[in-house]
Amino acid sequence: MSAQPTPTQISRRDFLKIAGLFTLSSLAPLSLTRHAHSNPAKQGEGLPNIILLVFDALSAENMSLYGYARRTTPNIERFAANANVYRAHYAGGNFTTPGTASLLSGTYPWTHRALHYAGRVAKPYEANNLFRALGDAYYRFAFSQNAWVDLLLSQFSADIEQRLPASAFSLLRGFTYDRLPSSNTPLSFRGLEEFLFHKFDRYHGALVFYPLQRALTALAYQNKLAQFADLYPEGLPSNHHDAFFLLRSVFDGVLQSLTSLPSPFFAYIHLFPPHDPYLTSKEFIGAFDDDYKPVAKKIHPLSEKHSYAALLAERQKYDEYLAHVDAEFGRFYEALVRTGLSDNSFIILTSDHGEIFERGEKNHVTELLFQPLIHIPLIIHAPGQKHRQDFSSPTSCVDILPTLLHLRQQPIPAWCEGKVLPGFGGESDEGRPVYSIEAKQNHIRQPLWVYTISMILERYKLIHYSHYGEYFNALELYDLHNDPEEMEDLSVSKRRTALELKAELYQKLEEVNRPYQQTS
Amino acid sequence: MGIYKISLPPRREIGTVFGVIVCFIFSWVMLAFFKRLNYWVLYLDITSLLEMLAFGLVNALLESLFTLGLVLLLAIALPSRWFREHFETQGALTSVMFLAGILVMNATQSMPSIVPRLPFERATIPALCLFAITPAVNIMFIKSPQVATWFASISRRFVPFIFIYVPLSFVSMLFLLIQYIL
Repeated sequence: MSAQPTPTQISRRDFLKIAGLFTLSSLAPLSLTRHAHSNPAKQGEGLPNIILLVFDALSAENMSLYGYARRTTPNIERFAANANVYRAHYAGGNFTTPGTASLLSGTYPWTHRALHYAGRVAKPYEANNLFRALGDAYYRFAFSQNAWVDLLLSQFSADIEQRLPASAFSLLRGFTYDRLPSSNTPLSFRGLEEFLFHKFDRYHGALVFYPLQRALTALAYQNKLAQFADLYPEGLPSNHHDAFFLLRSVFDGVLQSLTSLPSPFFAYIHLFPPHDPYLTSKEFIGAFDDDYKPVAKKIHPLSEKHSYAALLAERQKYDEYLAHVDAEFGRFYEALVRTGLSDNSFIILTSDHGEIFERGEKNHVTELLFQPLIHIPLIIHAPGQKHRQDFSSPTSCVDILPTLLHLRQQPIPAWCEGKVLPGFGGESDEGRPVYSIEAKQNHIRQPLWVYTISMILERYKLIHYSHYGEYFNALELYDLHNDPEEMEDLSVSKRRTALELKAELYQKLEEVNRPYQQTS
Repeated sequence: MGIYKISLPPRREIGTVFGVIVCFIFSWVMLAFFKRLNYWVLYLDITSLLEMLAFGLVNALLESLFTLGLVLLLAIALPSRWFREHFETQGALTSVMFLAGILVMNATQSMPSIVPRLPFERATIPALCLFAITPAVNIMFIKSPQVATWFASISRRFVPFIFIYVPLSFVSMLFLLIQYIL
């Protein structure tokens, strides 16, 4: 991290800079590129680049590559023709913060403790991250359109040479946190996005300025929308923080950034689509106006109990947006091939979590952990790879970090909970449990107590709900081999199996909770 | 400068109006803070919580000054017998109606507002109604001196809030400056 002045060293310039925080921040320039270091001397010549591309809320269950009935991802299929495809890959959680933190730290949420909305990795684990693990042999670049991920990335800024703001490549941005001094991203973020201008809560702190801010943003938005209404007649996609963008421009911007990075580089790119709002381009509106009706599933007690028809309509919008994302990815991939980057780079495509449109639940703000929420894509293209290889044993997002280290012939650190992926030196292991965790109502410094945990072991998936009202200490058991749609809960008919799996889960929980039991 | 000096209402009356505004806006920010606190305590440490509160207090001070500025603008722009001569009552009343209108707008807006819309859908209608009846209420107060006196005396009771919240806001500002620099 760059050296910060102490209070006694406040210069006049610093004072003016900070004073501007409260009055002139909206006039700050768009560029918020952060150079934690100038490009240091690298010892990594000859190493392939690594491009880790994460699509937010991309569920494998909605991708034709993974067998979905609608042809949503023909371009990703084209990419997968020269890659390793992991067919049973799982997210660490069911929303951005735990999912991404697990991906970047190689640890499960019960370890890194980024459990909450806009949460961060617990201080003792900050150093355990992919950027630091790869080391400065790579030029490390990070860009996330998702502000919550940006908040996580700010924790690792000492190990990132270049980090772009969440609003980079956007058409416009509102009064967002990245206009404030970058010296304290969490403070700016929490102050503005989580409190004063919180869009998901009526109790936002800025009583007078909030409507003004919305009005000014609306005016700017209407102006941009008028320009691009032909392309996006239903509205411009955004990142929930007033960064409205054209998907094509974002991909173009990312490509331009990649081609200008010094090799070898590690680029972490986290794109907001196909996260809601599902505002697709004109070309894809109505693309799935078909008779497709997924199997109706029982409404779950913990769901918001949306109707089947409402979920069907949401699903269609999601699928159409996904098809748009796929088309732009196709263009992006062609450019990677054209520029030669695909020949000397590992290209990893994955997601942080999935999206659900069944059982009365939509999106991913939920305590549920059904397959659409945690089954995510993982496709890895090795430099020059010209064939496709599929792997069906369960893998987890925590496996990416050790795999990349293994490829560099670096030792896997003891704190890492992942394993090297099959196809890159690891072995398929059906007997290894893979976890996904939801615990956003649990205190960060206490043992896991309020949670939903999914444990996949061999053919079975156990879901344990600890303390959700009437759904107290509840178990669900599914046979993913015979019942991939999770239609039949076997927790009663196969009670013994369920209890054995629960005992194994409890054993694991006891282990991961131990440090917190000692301190709580 | 001379023109503004002549047009501005007496300082004591401005203080009364500012007291009402400060009480309203700071109460809101405290309410908003404590409403969200039960989730924040799950994952934020005490420093982060203080930072959030400081952000809210500094913003509330700016909002209070902004609102007072709007009311003073009215006092300058409108004929003096309509507004400035009864500034203590009229200013306080207008501020309350204005802030109540925003509260109503807040309560009726659709959530979440990811895509900003113009006009603010249904949210604008009740708020606009409140704004529209404000002049009528003001006239009613002018016509009834007893009500005006009663309202002014109530308004004066809010002045102490200035001495609580404004210094707190300055301390918060200092705290935030230090947090950004360190």
